Amino acid sequence: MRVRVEFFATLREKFGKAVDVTLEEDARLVDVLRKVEGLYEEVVEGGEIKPRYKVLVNGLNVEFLQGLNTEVKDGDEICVFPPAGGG
Amino acid sequence: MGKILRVDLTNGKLRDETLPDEVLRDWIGGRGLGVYLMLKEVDPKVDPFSPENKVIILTGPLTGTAMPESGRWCSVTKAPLTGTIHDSQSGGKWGPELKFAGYDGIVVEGASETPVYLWIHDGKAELRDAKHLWGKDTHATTDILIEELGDKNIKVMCIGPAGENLVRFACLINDKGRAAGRGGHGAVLGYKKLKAIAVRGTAKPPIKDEEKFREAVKTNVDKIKKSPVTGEALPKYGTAVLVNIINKHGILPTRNFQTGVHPTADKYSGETIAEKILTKRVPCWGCIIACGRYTKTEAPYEGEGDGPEYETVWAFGAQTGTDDLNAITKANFLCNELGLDTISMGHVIGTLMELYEKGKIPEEKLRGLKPTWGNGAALVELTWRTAYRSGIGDDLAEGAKKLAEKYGAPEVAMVVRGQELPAYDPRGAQGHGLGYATSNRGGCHLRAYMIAPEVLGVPQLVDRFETKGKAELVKTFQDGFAVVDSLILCKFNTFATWIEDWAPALSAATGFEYTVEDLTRIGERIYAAERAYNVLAFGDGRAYDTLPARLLKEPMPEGPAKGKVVELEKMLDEYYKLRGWKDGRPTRAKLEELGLKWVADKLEEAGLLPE
Repeated sequence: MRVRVEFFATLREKFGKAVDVTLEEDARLVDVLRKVEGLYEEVVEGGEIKPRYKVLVNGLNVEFLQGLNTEVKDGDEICVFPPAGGG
Repeated sequence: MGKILRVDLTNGKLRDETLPDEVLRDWIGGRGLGVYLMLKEVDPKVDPFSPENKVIILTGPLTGTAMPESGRWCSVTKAPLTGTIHDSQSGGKWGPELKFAGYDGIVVEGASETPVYLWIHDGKAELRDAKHLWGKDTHATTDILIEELGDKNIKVMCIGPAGENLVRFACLINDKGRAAGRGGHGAVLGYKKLKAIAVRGTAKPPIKDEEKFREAVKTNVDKIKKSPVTGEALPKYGTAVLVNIINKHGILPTRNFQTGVHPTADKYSGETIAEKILTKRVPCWGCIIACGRYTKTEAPYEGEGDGPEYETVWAFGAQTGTDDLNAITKANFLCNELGLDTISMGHVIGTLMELYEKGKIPEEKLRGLKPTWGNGAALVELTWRTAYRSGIGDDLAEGAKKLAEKYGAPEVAMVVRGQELPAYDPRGAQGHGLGYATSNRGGCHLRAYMIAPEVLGVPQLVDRFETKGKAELVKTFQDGFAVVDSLILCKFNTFATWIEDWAPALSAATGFEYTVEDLTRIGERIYAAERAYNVLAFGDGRAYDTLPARLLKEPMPEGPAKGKVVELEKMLDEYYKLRGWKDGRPTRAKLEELGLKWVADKLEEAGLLPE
């Protein structure tokens, strides 16, 4: 199955705007992160998503789902944001 | 802090005044001091367009010092858009220069018969004829004054044609591209015929304890530099870095809050601005973040100038269903030149577009224009027509609430206390909805910026769909931001620092010993005082602490927040309990606790004190 990973702000410099990732069925978010070179290290520290980084699956922050263990399905959209703010 | 210039425009007289220490200690400066002076001096029932209304221009004790992000100033008045007490904050370079020119604030009173401007330099002030400036836009006004006064380092704050024409959301523009944007302060100055305030000076703002101040400043600087928000994302991409974040969370209000998703929003994001139209970053005075943008647009919307900011690209973008960055940015430039609040301007165009879609607008009012969703050229045309109150522009100039009421669809107005809601749909951020509803100055995202905890994870991430615990967070933010607006500091400090970091700096600067509790209490005091002013002005209370029916009753139709509405009532009860208010009005007990017995007495005299 395939999911789309989108990148924003400073992450675009490293990873481009988006990438499609092919995975086995029953994949989890952590599997998606490991499939994109450098992404797991960018986003994860000590087994958790780094503070103020935001990873969304279909617009929902995974902190309120199952974190790195969140299930992903075919066609899901994953968005990764570095720390950012504005007004 | 405390040296005020009193400007009596009716009689053309100026005089200096020094405020007493007790007042400065209890209200700090900026917004707090403005609120105090309004309560003392301006009858809450006055017509905003009357000589009895005042415009109180203020800096804070930290303005123009080494404290980072201290390059700001504010205006406090009774606003034409809302009829509430209203402060509007601005950055740029003008605020510190007022301090260097020898004044901490200016109280503008009365009204002039003919246009005048104020020139303040090295502790001296004079009123001068401005007939040659009347009718000119903010850029021309600034250029002419700099030339006429003969010093390119003069800083100018002025109104444009929109203020002169009493557009209800006309703003104050300083340094050609920074704005005290919301509420129509520009229209109040327009009514008073004060066209501009030019300032220049070299005085150094006094610091009581230089060594302690330096230490406190260093702590703040270090934290701001270390934070990835203030150290990386904001400088690189500006505030519009929020476009994709908010859109992907499904809360980017699109086509007048009909949905929360704008599929092509990346076309006007901070990333795209940096890639396509940014020519340089612009810091405000004393700023180490430098989030400001200077941009240049392409045909057929050629232009250049400051901005656009996040709120601006939302207001002219998703709110109107447009994604043409050049059209959006050009409308932004025009707002700066004509002196219009970009948030209200773009928002009101969206209101018009929904009314037009519903067949409510007579063709003859439009003179051939078709305000359909996504019509980029209409953004520019309607901005111009609004500034000059021409045709449909005359209706837009009254704001979304009056526009929608006039054309028979009041439910289309997405406002709180008459001020148009900004760039976040609260159906996907419950706390932010409570913040909107309880804002003393009308629809505003910056009384309590709940997006920080609910979306950005600052200071901690909370569940945006939950209502529990949100009342406490909203109160904490409202009180803290009231302090920020009084010091005055840029709110972007709050991504890295908070009250415990500012208290030592303020104590060292002023010589008053402030603890964290002291400052929090001052924030609470300011918030209660503002609410009391509104209660006296128009009976503010629970009936006004509400949101448009669309947000309370129409579930979000799509996206990550699909099916949600704002569950306001639950949060509101808890909010009042935490504030010690009853049905949206401060009680005597709470007011006296905050040292505001005299305000409780005023409310009681008017029969408006809750039991």
